[in-house]
Amino acid sequence: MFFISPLIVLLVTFAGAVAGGLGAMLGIGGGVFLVPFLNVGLGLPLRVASGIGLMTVIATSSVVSAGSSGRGLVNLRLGMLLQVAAGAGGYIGGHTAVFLPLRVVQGIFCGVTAMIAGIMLSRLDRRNVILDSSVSPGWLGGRFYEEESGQEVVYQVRRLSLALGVSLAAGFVSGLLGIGGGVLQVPALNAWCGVPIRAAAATSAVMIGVTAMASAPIYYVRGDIVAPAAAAAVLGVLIGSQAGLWFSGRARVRSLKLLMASVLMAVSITYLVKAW
Amino acid sequence: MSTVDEHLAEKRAGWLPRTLLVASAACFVCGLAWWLFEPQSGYALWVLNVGLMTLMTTPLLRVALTLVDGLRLEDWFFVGTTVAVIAELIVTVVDALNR
Repeated sequence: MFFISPLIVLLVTFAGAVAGGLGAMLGIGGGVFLVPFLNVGLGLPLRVASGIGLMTVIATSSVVSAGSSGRGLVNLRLGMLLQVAAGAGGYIGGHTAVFLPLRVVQGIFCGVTAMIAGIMLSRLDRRNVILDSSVSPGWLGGRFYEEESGQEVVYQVRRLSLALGVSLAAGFVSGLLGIGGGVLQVPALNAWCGVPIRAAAATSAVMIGVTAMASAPIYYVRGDIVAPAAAAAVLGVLIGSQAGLWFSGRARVRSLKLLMASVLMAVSITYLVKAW
Repeated sequence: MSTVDEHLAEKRAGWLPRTLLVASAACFVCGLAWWLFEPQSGYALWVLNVGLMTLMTTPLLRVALTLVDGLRLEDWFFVGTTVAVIAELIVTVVDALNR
């Protein structure tokens, strides 16, 4: 069994809190921040860091989905449809992780996060809400009360095949890297598929926990989920996500997007250096 | 399924993750405290692993609850996609157990 010292457990708890806060605000699992910290910062093997990351994704998903429930932000019908693709991707990714060389995995991590940051920055001021609440959301869209506009808003989902493709890729990346996949799905749903960022974040938050479960058992059986470290990270996430939920309801949409893009660029640069 | 029905379904599915989270967090707190006090203790690791198992069942049961809501509301598209997701998760768990 991989040895974890009490000091590392403390650091992991702190990292989990930061990851949980960011995850709750942005609808991602926090693994995209936590996994590089565990791997690069604390020196844990990437597979162990990924296994712990998956557990924190499940925890963040559970906290955020419980906190968002009943507010109309979670689009369960869209989420379950996309989850079919994400689950398949997660299963494949989880099995692929052992076969790919480490530098290839790091390179994929770097490329994916950089691409997503670019997508977010290119769509900073784009809004997907329809202020006329008499408009039909269609068979996959939705409606919710938006604080920013002070009224009920509607959105319609576009480019469903693209959303399914991104979900498949998100699931694959989740299984491969130990992240939730929300970091791919939220920007894609928002930038290309007509879903407002808060609805995309809330829907993704529900999905990522299920996506993580498409590969977490594989990591667990392989012994890559080190119980003390995973427990410490999850406890940190539980604390941090409460703060994240509080902030996300008050932050402006543009600020959320900028924050996400910044986090992704930092992670991308970290892995570029590591892979090189 | 109307938007109101979806909001209610969403809310009903929210209580279960909360309950399981609290249970897993309790295992983690107790298990970690024990492990920090006695790092070689097999029992501490057992408690921590019970917490991990509990946490991992959260998404599974949330999807199951969503399926129940879909059946109750007779939204067959929703039921179909949810059944597909559950099938994928079962395949993953069975595959992992067979390793």
